Amino acid sequence: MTVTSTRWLAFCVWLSACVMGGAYESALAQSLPPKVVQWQGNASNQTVLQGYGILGEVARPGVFSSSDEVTLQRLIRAAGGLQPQASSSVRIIRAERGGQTLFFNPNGSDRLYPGDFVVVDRRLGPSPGGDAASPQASVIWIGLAGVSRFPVVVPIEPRDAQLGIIMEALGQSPELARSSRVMLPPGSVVPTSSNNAFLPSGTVIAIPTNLVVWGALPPGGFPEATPLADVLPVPPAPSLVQIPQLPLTVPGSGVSGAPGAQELPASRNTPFDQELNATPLPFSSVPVTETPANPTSLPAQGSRLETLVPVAPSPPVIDEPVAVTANLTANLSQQIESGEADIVGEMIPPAKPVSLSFWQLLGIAGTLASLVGVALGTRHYLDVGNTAATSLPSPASTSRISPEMFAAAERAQATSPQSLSAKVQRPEPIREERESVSPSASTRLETKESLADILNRRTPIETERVVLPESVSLSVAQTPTNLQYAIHSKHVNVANPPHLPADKLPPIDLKLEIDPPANVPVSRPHFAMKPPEPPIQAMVEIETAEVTSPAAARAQLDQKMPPLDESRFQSPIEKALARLQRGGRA
Amino acid sequence: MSIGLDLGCTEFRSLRYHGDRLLSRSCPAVMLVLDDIPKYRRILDRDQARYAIGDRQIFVLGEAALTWSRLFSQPITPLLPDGLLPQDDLLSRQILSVLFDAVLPASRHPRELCTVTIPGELLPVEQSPERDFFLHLVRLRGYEPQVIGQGHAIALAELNPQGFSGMGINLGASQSEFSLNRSGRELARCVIPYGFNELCGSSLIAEDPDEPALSKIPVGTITDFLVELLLEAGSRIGQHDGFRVLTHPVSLAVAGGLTELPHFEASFHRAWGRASWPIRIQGIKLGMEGRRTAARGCLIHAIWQSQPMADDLAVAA
Repeated sequence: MTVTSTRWLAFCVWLSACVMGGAYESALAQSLPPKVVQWQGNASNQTVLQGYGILGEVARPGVFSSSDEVTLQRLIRAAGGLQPQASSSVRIIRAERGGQTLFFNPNGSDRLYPGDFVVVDRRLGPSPGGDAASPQASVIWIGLAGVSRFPVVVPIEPRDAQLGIIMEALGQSPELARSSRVMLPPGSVVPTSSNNAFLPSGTVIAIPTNLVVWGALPPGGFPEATPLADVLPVPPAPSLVQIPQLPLTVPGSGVSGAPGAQELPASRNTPFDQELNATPLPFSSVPVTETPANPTSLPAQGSRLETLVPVAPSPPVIDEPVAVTANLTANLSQQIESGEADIVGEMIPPAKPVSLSFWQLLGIAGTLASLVGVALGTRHYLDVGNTAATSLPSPASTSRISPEMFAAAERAQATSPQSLSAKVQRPEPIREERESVSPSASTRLETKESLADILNRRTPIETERVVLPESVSLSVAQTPTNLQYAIHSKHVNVANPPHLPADKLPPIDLKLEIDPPANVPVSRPHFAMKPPEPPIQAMVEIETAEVTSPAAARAQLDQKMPPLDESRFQSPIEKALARLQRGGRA
Repeated sequence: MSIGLDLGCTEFRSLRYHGDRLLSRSCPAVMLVLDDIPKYRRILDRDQARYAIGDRQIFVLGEAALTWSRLFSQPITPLLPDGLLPQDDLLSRQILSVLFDAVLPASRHPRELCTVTIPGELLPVEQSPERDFFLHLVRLRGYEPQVIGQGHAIALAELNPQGFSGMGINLGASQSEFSLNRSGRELARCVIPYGFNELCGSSLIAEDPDEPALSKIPVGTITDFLVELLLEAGSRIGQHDGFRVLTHPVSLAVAGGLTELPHFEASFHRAWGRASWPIRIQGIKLGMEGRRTAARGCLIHAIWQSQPMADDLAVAA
């Protein structure tokens, strides 16, 4: 390798080492755990909860809240699992749009975003459980977006499931319904432009937030969301200490409150015994269903998700930051138990440590830099080799030439015009001659050009003659064809053209028969060899007194019928027909 | 080879690219039913007319049906009355398949694209007897079918300078279609089951091609028909959510059999002035190919689908 390429290689190695070292230092700095765990005091509850709505064919539709990341599978488990008649695909309505349709995989982990609506539609066709009505069959579940910080899922009586009534219950004008976006379940045929149409269960209405009159909303607000942790305990993470479940002290929590909920007996008025299916305040009372809210989140009988899939805990990382976190969380748990902290603090989980060491990174960088250096050196060698063949001394004599002289000779060649042109000349790669192009490629080339020609009308349209088969034999139908009936029916059912008055309608021409039916016996077949036949009977009825012989009949015909004027016939077919009518072959 | 196929209620039309030419085929979707008697056979054989035999009847097909209907003063039978496929008439369905095969040549390469319009389709549905029947025939010819509306096809054929954005109107024999498009994609469609056959009356005798029935209709009648059609379409468009999103004027492209009349443009402008539409129009353009405009749009769609859209827009620009 030349001196230049060697210097370049060394420079690349040094540079890569500096860059990689600096990157590692910065990554290492970020991986250090926080020195202080930030938690909130007794002043305010500022847990960042996000709401997720679920409705449709689940055991317990409603709204759930959580500050952690929520997956589709977790939300459905919290809602009690899928009903037997649920579809295998669920719709996720996100940001007031249609969202996406996912195939539900109980073992998967489909992340949801705050404000999402999960709609589980009913399976099309007969339900596997027969015609047994689901507990929510007597109510219509509607999702509302844009009227609250959280999604709103409410049960409504079927008679109230109209867009106008819903807007009235929300204290909004009916005009808001026209600006709202109604997302119906698939297969629903509901004219959404009408406020009186009955909406099916699983409908989500997205109301523009900027058009909502917030002061007109019901004074009681909307029911709060059920914390997901109450319904479905979060599986313990290895780097986090299990925080004990605190008794819920917020009134009404865990209940999508109904007016009737306040009337429940005291024995049932506990967070874990209260029912989740309830009616929000602005709507008329709906009979509370008998689906209890089980805090242990055992799925409802008959639901698909009957067994909870345990989340495999990640292996504990034995590292210094984890130990620090454990000490801090232990102190925090002690404080909680002692009552010094009422609210569970928000702990910043430690970042995962870098798996590669400094020397490993340095090795990778050095390898890459050496490859770059080798490539550059090879390229330079090839360039120099082209010029050395003509002017440089032979390899055998290079040993007698000092490096300074060699470098000087190189510089001289580099600046000379001949060397410049020689430098440009490089061995050209061998071009592969492609003899045959694949049919798809040729077609694409042909079609690419043709589209421009068609669009710009460079190619005129030529009419091609349609060639029908010479003989077509049609199979006889089992039932007799009623083509004439079809013709009659067309005229019977045709509507009067609206722009023409009835008295100006053209007369209907129903001339269907011009010849006697086919069962009239034909006297002689036309193809047999026989003596001259009598003239063919003309289409026009000829009044004849007596016809004694063919000659007399022809004479009468000539008398009655005017001479044939062939000039008035434009096509040879018409001429032939006219002659045929007059009898005999032309 | 891509091909565009426009299946109307009264005529089948196809258009394909062959080398450096555009070849068009058309065949009327009618038949003439005659009794199977030797006289008719003799006449038809002499004229070398194509006919089918079955059920003790003679079925004259294609253009010959129109010719002989005039000569015999016999009524023709539409194979797709009002665009509907006869369900109980197996003979008509077989004849339809014969005419279909004559209009649509067999594909040269497997899975070539064929963009087709379905006759009598008031709403784009997933399944219908007509759609199932004709798509099956297309697949039997070796093509991969794609269905678009006639209005959409007209927008593709005529609105190239406007970036394939605007409204395409097809004035067919049995129905009229209004299609709103944007960048080559159909946004909304409105079909009215009125066609220019309403103007021709109910005569079943085939008309003389030199003296079409439409040419005998007064200009005022055609204008009244267009006014009524545009009013009906305007009222439906005003209720359609897809058309209400328009905030700027759009271009209009009109094609169909009715546009072949020499005084159609004047009639349409007069009718437009009398009909109040809920959307603003930037300009009115008539299809230059008349009733073959939809087939041309289908061919453009078929070629377009077989290429990346970015390249084609660059080509079209």
